[in-house]
Amino acid sequence: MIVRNAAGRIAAIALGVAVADGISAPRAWAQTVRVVNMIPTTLGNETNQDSEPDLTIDPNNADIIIATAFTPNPSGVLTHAPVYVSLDGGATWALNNIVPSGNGMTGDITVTCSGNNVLYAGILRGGAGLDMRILRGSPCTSGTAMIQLVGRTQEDQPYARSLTPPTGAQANNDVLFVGHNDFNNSPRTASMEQSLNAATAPAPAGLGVVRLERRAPFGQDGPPIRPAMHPDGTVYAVYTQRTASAGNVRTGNIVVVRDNDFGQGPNAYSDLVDPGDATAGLRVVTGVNWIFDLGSVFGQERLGDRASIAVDPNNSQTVYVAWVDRAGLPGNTASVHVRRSTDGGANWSADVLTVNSALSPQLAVNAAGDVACLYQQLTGAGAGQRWQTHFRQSADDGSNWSDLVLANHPANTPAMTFLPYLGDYVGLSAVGDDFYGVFSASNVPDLANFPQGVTYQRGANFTTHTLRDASNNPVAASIDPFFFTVLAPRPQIQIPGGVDFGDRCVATAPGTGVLNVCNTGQANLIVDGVASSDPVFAVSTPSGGFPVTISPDFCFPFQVKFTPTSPGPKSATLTVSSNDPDVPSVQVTASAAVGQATAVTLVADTGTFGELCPNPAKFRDLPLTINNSGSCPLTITAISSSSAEFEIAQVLGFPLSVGPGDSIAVPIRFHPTSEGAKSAKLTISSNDPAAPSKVVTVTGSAPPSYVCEPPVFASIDTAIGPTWGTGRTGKYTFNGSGHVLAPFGPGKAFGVQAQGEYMYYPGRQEGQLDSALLYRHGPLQYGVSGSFKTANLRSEASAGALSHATLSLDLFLTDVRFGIFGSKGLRETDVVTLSETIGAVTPLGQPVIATEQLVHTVDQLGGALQFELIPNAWLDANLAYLHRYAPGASDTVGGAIRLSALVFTNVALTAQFDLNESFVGPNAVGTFTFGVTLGRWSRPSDYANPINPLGTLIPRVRYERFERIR
Amino acid sequence: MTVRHLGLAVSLLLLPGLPAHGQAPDNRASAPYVFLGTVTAPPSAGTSPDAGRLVVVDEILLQRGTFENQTGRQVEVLGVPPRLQAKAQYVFYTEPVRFGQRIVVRLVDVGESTGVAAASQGANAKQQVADAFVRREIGERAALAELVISGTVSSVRQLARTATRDTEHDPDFRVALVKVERVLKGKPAGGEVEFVFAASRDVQWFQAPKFRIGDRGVLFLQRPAREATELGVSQQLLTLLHPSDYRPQAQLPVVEAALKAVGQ
Repeated sequence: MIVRNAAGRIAAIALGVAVADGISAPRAWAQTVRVVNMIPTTLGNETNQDSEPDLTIDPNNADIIIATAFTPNPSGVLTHAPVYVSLDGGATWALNNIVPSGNGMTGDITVTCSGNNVLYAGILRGGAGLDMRILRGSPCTSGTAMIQLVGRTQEDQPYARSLTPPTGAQANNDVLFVGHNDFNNSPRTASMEQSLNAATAPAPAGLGVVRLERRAPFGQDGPPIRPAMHPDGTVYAVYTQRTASAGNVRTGNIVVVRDNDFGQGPNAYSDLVDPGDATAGLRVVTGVNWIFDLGSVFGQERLGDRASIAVDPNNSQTVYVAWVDRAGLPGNTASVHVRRSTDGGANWSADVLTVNSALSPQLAVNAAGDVACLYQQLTGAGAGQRWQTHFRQSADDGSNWSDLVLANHPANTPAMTFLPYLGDYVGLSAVGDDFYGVFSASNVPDLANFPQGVTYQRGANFTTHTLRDASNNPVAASIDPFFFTVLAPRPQIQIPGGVDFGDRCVATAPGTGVLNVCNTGQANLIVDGVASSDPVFAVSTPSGGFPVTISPDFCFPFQVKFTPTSPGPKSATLTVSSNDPDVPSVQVTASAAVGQATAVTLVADTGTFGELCPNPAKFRDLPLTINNSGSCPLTITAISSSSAEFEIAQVLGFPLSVGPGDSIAVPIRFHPTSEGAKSAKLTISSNDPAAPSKVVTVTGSAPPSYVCEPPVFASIDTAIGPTWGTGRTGKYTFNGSGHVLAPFGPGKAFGVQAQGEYMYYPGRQEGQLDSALLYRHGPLQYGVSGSFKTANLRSEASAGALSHATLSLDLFLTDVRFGIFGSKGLRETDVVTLSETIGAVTPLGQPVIATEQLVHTVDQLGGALQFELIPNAWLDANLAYLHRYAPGASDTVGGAIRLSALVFTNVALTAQFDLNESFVGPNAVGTFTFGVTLGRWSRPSDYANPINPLGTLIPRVRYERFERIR
Repeated sequence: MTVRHLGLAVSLLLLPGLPAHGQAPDNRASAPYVFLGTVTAPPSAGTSPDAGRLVVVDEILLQRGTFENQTGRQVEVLGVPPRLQAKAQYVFYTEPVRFGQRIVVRLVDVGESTGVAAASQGANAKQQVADAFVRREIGERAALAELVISGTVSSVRQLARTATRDTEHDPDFRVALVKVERVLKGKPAGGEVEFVFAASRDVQWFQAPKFRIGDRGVLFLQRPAREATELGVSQQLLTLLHPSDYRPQAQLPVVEAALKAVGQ
């Protein structure tokens, strides 16, 4: 069955045919065959006989192919001959004039492109008989003339092949072998020109001749000496050994030699010894005969020796050899024979392929171990004779063969220009599992002549079967070279698309997608691995592991796991490596749009709870708002507080889920248990990948107790004791007083101090009420007070009422209070006794003389001091300068000093000494009293209180008495 | 008989751009492909420095060899000097080096195109270029020849050889006896001269001129090269193996003129 594509260029062929020798081919083949006429467009008018082709493929790039044929230099220049060059796998060709020549052509020419991109050629120089040249050029596609490494006459059929072993002693060397028939060594003419490293060294680049023939042939060996190399160093060669000659019939042996180490050493090619004569070189077959006739006796072709050899690239011990002989048939004819050895040439099979009336077998073994044989067969008889070019392939060691007829054209046209008509050889090479080849055939554009289809670059009309030049003029038919490929049934990878995971969320469970890898080819697709450029897209190894074999028309769903770790658009390149020969590596994209939960927290008042006094019953709540500004649900797994004084609502049940764009408010309770600055870190544990533990700091403060419970001082004092001084109004005194201080206002920095005192002396009694307004500012305390006193001097008619105002300033240090004060009378005077008398009569009348006993306030300017003597005992003292108003009285001082000792809570005993404590007489008076204080009044231990008023000294209204007459 | 085609008569008309004395420089005369062409736009940035300039072939002045007529087509010219102006016309003396979808030629020399395109001048120019090429070619072959004669083959016989090879490339040497009619170079021993030619139709020899009795023409005869002697040709014999060493009798004036021009 033949299936052509629309262009008719490529045919996919399923073969189940019976081959010519009657062996059925049970295996179905589905090769892709392409045949290309190699004459380029610009040579559409050429009519040369482009016969005897050869080719070489760049080992590193199968798109680069160099081929040769007996093609003259189209420019007419005689100094160089062309080679064919293709850069696109043989689809199109060009001619490069790079081969030195004497007539614009070459004689025999073979080429080999090495792994180091060096092109070697073995040629017979055009127009010079048996003038062998071994040439070198680089790169293989170079347009620069090749240079000569070796030149020697009396040589025939140089057949160049190279190998660049990847490993071993010759690793990366260009090992060059040129089989040649050296008449300079007749009769042992079969020889090998070889170099272990020919790439760059100056001529002769290590080339030296090794004689292959160890016997004494009849006159000479035959022209074909063909090498075949294996990368392990095994080198074979086959040649035809003449043993007799009669007329145009030659009799001889087909000999194979082998060297196990690249043909080195003095006994090169002696590793295969013929047991028959213990001589190096095993005779595969003996006593065969063939026609050696230089006339156009066989479909316009000449007849002669033909041989080919190929080694299995997988096993250097498996080797095939082919030759032609007459096979007992009458007349000028030839038969192709192919045999096989699996022990390095020691033993050979019978013919695995025999084709009568055929020439120019060329063998190759592909990477799969399939052997192929290209040959040209003359069929029919008389005017109906046709040349058929066959490509045969066996996948079972030669038991069964496919048969592709690549060309089939009349043998009598076009007319022969020279010999060989089609060539003494054709070209065939294995590239992986594929075969690339070249042959020469009639270029008549008739699809009937090309059963597999054909592509022409030059002008060709397949309807009229005529060639056309660029001006559409008919061009005579001739022999052209044809390139062909037979591509092995191959897998074809197809991946419908990448893997789209859609919208995903960070830190969620991995998503799983499917990467379908399909095989639309005709052979098993073997996927060696699927690599991801980003580990977040991980391809799961199938349960059976890699490689994964996918049958034709099947797909395999590779599991791709996506583990989102960060937000944003995500993509990775998944590289699928397979045995698809055209696209061994396919890249597809795995993608996802990854969102995430994003916790945004808000706390009222920036998380500051303000001041709150410790109190079991008091707390303050602020909402902690958690907003999810991301695109995925926010899961809150816990909210914790670093401080028990900031409490999380106990009613919350975790986890909490907050949808994208939503918010929740979590109450945070500030419940201080002690004074001082408070803070806590609230930790919100969530699935926010950016902040899985988001910390919010909240602060607050609990004022000190003197703020939360500002001290209210209240005490009652009473004392009794003797008086002293000559102006005293009694021998003893008794007094009692009450004090109260209450803070108020912002921060309790203000205070009202109120106090009252009663003083008893046997000669007088006094009562005084005071009130003061205090303001505490840091260590300072400002005070303004007013005092009202009633003094009842028993010696006077009535009591006097006085008042004064006081300004005070206190400084509180750690253990001491300093104070200054100044008092000025408000109601400065009062008449306590008035006596009137009638004076003497005067012209103006009789006056009334009033004599008044006054009490008058004494202005004061003084200081006060309080400090702790020992724990629970402190000293109060004050001293004032007293400014008097009594006529003739001098200013004096007054003061007091009191020792207080706390004996019980709120009970202190006092001892006090006073000087001019109230009534300022003509002489100093004072008291010495002992008393008790009940209650609580400020003392040095209170000075740590930096806020509240702590009481101040309000001086007694001091007064004096004097007489005034009016 | 295989001969090379020579269809142009020698003319020494001046070709614009050639030296005034009418002698084409040797390098120009070696160019097998000469054409009047127009340079296209300069290569774009990024073009490989090894790439040539594209030139449209306006008129072919000389084309040896066999390839498609490129008139009106672009060829890629290697080695174009920068001074050549885009869209300007020049005479390109070239050697084709690559034939693919497009022909690539190596520039041998370049000349101004003034007047070449005019019809009458164009014909003269073609003749001049062809004459120069032939003159050079004849001069080169004559320089290698011991004898250059014209004459008629009177007999042909097989060369008796002692050294024979069983090879496809056997030249099948024959000996032709030619009656000398005119001596253009050298001094033949007599009125008849023998020479060896290859009768083989093998690829190595099919281009070598073949002779039969009665063939007449101009013969460039050489002493045998090493390859010939190794194949059994005596040094005493003259050979005619190169395809350019025979020219039909009709080309005798051409040869004479060429030899005169080159001083032989």
